[in-house]
Amino acid sequence: MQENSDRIMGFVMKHYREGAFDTVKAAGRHMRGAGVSFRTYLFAAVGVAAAVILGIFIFRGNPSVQRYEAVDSALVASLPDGSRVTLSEGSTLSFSSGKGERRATLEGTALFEVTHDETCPFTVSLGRATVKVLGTVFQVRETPSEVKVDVLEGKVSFSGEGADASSVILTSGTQSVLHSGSASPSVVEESLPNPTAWLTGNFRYEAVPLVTVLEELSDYYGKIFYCDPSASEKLLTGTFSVDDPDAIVSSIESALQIGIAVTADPFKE
Amino acid sequence: MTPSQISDIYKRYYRPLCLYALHYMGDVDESEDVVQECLTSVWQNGTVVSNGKSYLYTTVRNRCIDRLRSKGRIDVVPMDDVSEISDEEAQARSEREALLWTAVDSLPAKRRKILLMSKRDGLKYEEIALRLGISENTVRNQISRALETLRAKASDILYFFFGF
Repeated sequence: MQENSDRIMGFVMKHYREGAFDTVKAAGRHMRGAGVSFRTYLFAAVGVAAAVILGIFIFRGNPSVQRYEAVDSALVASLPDGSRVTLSEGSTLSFSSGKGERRATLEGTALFEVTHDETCPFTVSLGRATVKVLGTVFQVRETPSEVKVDVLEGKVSFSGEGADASSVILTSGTQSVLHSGSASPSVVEESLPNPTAWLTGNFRYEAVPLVTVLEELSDYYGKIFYCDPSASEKLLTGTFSVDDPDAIVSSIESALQIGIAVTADPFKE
Repeated sequence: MTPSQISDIYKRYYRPLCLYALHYMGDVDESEDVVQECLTSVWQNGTVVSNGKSYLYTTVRNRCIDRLRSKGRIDVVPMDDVSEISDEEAQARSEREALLWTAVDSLPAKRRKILLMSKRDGLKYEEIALRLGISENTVRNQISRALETLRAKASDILYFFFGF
């Protein structure tokens, strides 16, 4: 056995070269060669959708109102004020600008990169909540049970609707949620690591406790991911593509030597 | 096959297969070529890989032999094998070699350099010390700490992925 180990060591030492047998590069070459790179695919899809959307602006009565709809893939749209919006699949946005205001109405999820203009605030209305900014990058997600706002850069004000609604000021890196039925949003103390995973295509973790990872996967896929409580503090590092939850689960299981179970979320339809 | 499945399979099999090929080809670049060709063709032919660890090894071996034959080397045996070993043993050996290769990758750069100067390039401690402007004692220390790390990591059977 010892002799065997020495031979293995000798063989590796004899041939070792820095940078050779690079697994990640090889997988990358493979994907480019086989034409299955998810990123290329995603951006190609965005490109096509952006091209298509130019042709199907819907002018409803008021010609200054623009309507954008991401029909079957994510969509990047440039607004007339120079701001950029990335809409997730199935989301819609209307936008109008007038004297001293820029007003967007959103159904669904979108990432906003708002051009700075102090004299002309940018508001996003969701029917039951309003987000107001001067110039910043932020994301709004609307689901039947809640509205969530993540601020990536700058500052936004977030409020519910109604007379007794109060607002919270969010700074970069913070997340706030307005639950259905409550008037005022609350700030989330520890937000999930990848709020824009639907856009980047990846969950990226650096020494993140498993319990947080599972919470994010549950949130993203609308199912409940759980593990034995004794494993919940194990730390995970790695990047996982959002397109295959089964592969994420099996990778985590083998990397951390634990089991993960997935069930339907009884609170979601 | 989704991208994450592809990278999963690369993480599990790429390095061990490269080291397996290296026993035939004796050259790092050629081994890498062979393995990449094999993995690509396996996908293009739509072969299911889940039944296929041994299939992958066999494909790689056949392609190595083809290449060597085309270069005029008729009697093909793994270059450094004095005794015959079984397919399973050869696969297990490649996996251990891959673990070790990965462990060498993850050594601190300076320690790795000293180790390679000694074990790969065959320099004496004295020569290494002279070239790097450090004491012979430091060289001895660095090498023994490197070997300690390698032994510990190479015996870690829980290690599933190679090369990241």
